Amino acid sequence: MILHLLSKGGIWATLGLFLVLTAFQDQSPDARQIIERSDGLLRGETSQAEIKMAIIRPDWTREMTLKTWSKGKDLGLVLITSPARDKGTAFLKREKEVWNWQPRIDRVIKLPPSMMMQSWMGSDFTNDDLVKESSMVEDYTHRLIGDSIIDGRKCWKIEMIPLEDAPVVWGKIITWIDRETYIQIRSELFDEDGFLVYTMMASDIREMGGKTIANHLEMIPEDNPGHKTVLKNLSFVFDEPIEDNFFSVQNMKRVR
Amino acid sequence: MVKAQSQNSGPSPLTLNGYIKDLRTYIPAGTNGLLVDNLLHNRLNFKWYAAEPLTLVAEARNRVFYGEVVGLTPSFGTLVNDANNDVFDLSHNLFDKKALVVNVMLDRAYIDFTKDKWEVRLGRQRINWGINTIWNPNDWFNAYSFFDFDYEERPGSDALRIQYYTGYASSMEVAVKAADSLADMVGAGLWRFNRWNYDIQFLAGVMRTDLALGSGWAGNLGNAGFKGELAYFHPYRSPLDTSGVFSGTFGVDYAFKNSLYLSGAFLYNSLGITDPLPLNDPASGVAANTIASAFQLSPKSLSPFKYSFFTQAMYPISPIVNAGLAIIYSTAGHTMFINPLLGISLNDNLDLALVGQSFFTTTLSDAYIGGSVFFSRLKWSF
Repeated sequence: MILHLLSKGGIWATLGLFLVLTAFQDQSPDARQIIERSDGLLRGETSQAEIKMAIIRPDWTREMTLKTWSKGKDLGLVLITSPARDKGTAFLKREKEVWNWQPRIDRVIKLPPSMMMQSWMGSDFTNDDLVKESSMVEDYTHRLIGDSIIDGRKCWKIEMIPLEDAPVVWGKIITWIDRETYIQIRSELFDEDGFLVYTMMASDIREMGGKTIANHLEMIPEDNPGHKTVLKNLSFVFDEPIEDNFFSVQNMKRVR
Repeated sequence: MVKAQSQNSGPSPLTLNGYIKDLRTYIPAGTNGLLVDNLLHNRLNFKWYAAEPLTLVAEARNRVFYGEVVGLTPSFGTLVNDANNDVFDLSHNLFDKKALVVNVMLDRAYIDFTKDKWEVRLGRQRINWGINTIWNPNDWFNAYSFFDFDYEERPGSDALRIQYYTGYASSMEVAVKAADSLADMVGAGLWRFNRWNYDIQFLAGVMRTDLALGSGWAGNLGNAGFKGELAYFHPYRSPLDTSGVFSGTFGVDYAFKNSLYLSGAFLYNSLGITDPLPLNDPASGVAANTIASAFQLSPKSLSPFKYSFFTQAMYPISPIVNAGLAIIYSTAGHTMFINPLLGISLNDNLDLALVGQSFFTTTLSDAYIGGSVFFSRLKWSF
């Protein structure tokens, strides 16, 4: 379920993959440096966003809108604003702890850590796509394997192979990173037998909240035609200071 | 600077949400065939953010009962009218004839005053001190039936509650429930804090004719959730001549990577029995109701048995279809409650639930009896 938004930095890490930042000098750093920049640029900052998620299947679509607040990688708050059934439900993350507010029953539920490791809200995102800010850098070896142009953008093509004891389900990731914005434009996720499982595509790259970010992200499973999950930014604010006590159980119950 | 509670400027000061549900109940009643009942249920939740720091809340349940059990049950309307009401009479039957009962009630009606770290709430409200997943010996203000799955909001108490937040996951709380007599009064204090990645609480007070002490925790063992609650109740009149009641529970839950969720819990109740329930052989068809009613609704006695075990598995077959199975078991008379359910999201706000409840137990004459109730529920949320 939505818990995965919070998984080890879930949405915040996603947004890290997803958005990423201001232009860098166009020099050619090595593969690891590129990934490090792409992956780590949101750290130590705050963000506030309104996001729409759609799970799309051949026969149906389900949509959900969320408001999120984050500060660094340790503090996060997610509020569901639609559909009506789930409206008001909120999640608070502080470091490794996560609480869930259920307004209908007036109850705060502390969630087990394992709940943060599942697939994400029944969507095509899995935890391993979204989580672990450090793992993109530290759990893989990186190799620059070429240049490509994707959607008219000059990209580095980087192959990432997980280290032997890394807690990663993928056998390999190939990612295309825009040379101008460092945004991951496209990623292909392969299983341990070398088969393509998911393709992640970022688009609608434009300024939002003062930064150049990708405002549309799609996750497409290889084996299920017609299936995909789409994330869209409705609004985004960066770096407006947020007090630490905003991320409290008391405020989780109040926030609108 | 974004401050806690400063997000109230944008959204509307008055909100309304709720749902309309249609619950059908099917009871196989042997030679009497299948008893079918309907409950058409509308809930309206009003919230008025009147002015900082005041918020007014009123939540109404409007229910129409009709069907065979409604007609067969003597004074069904009176039962509906009284159930879940508290000291103040906020429930009214608009219609009560034979097999049709129309009831309206307010189960929330309170004023909330929130300023900085203070939160004061007066009126009919839910005071939920439970911290454990399934059984809640710390939930002293509202006991409810596990079997009444259709009332997820749970009843309210006519009470005054004062909370003071001392940290991001810590608070002190005092609550007093209105009562017609001293013997019905519930008043208690709660201290909650977060340490070693655990939420921990201690509570003490008066629950009706008992002095009550309790404690609860919610944390984890490795990646599994680990939660529990303990409570001890002792009559305050002639305390030396009477014995207290201890109720304790703990549970573990775990969510697998493929989204399978497993939960297990144990409940000890010193007041409970280890022998079969003192039941004569009930007529078939009412067996399920008879066994269910043995589970009293008191924090002192969440189960009639000394030892109760709970297991649950939930699995999302797809993002819109959830399947689950819960079982409660007690060695006493091999009593068992089996509760399968299937939840299907028909669109963003329309949900279908199919629920079964089967009860089995051994009677005084050593017969093993059982009965089932089945439900289908359509719910539209707005």
